[in-house]
Amino acid sequence: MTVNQLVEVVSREAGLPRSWVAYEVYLMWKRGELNIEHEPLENAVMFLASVDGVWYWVTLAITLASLAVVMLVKGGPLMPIRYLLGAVSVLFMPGYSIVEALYPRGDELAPLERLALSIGLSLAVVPLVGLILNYTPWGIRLIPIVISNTALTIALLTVAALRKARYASTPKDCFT
Amino acid sequence: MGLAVLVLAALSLVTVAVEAQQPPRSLLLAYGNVSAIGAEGGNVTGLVATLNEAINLTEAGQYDNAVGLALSILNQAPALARQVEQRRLIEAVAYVALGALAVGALTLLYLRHRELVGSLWLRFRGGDRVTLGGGRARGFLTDSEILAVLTGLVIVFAVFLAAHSLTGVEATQFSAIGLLGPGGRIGGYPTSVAVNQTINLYVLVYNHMNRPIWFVVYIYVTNNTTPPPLPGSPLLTYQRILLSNETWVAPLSLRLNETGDFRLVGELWMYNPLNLTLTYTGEYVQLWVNATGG
Repeated sequence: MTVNQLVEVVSREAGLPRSWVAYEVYLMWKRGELNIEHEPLENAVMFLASVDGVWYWVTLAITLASLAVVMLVKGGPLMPIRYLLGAVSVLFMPGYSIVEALYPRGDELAPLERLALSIGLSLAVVPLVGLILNYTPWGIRLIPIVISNTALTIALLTVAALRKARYASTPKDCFT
Repeated sequence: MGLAVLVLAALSLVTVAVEAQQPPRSLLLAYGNVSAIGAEGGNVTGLVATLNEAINLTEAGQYDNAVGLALSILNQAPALARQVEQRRLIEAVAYVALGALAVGALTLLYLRHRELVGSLWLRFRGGDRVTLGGGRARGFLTDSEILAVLTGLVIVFAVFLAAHSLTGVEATQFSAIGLLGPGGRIGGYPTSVAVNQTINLYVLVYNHMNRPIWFVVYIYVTNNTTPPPLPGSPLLTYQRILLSNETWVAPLSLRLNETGDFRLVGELWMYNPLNLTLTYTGEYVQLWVNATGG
């Protein structure tokens, strides 16, 4: 049975809008009560162009937005956004990208474990970036820190995306 | 001081080898105006550069030119102050508008999230097959525990933001003076030098007063342990107006032509932007150097 068919049946029997039923099915999939399967994607390009690859583009957009805001916003009403994105890019994104690269399938860890590991690994990795920068000619300054942190995050996100793409291109029977 | 000290170089454009003379009143008034505009958030980078140029001219004895620059700044100041006031008003309106927009968008998103997410998901995943799952959660933003943690973070962030905007608390104001080694970094300071050997150091001044400040650094060489501010005329004077958050590093070279233990002291003074008087900040650096006969 496809998602459309399931939503249609439940919507008709329960008298609820299709979008509401679809939302409940989506939540059941996220909670692991349902599996949603589609044809294996052939390569990484197809993965990144598919709806499964939206994850990569969203996290990439957040990372690049953080870079832009930190570099461009020096004051004014956008400062709270700088604080927020700056905190996310330092305290969450590096660790999150590592976790995604290490556990690309999505259901290996509980969501709370994924969050805790993301924050913890960020706290562990960012000082190491600072340590390495200390021995470079650029030193520990704002621009080298922001650029190296962004580059590390993007590299790890790309590794995670490639691993997810490889998983998505494999028939699911291999993992059962 | 009774010490024979030979100064080698006058180190930067704004360094003078005698005690700083009282600057022209118009220059001080211009500084006060520029500092006030800078404190209100105005961009005074160009004006501070002009003031520093006027300070240089004063030190070179060209008082008329310095006063001319100061008067031109005094003429520009009222218009700039009005611009800053208007900008602050626009910023306040922008803050309220952005806040209202964000609250409105979030409310709408919350009220319509089922329809929005459901229809989008159905459009992209409608053709996929559904089977029974293994019970392992994969959602990040759909997990109730994650949402609880995020809610906590949002509350903490919102409280700090509200407190900051309501009380108008600004960052702690301070200034700092430092002495850097020959490589322009902390460390590598000479402790023992031969008589007439050149000592190369750097003086660092940092402004975190949230406004442009006119700093004056007095350099003394003495052999007593009197706590600063030291009496008498300084050996060297550095002065410069620094923008908020600006750091200034100036080279310092000198030679000692007598043996003994000498104390190099750098005192940080500033022209108070409110009453335009030269005030000791209470901050100083010192370095003991032993000059030997070899």
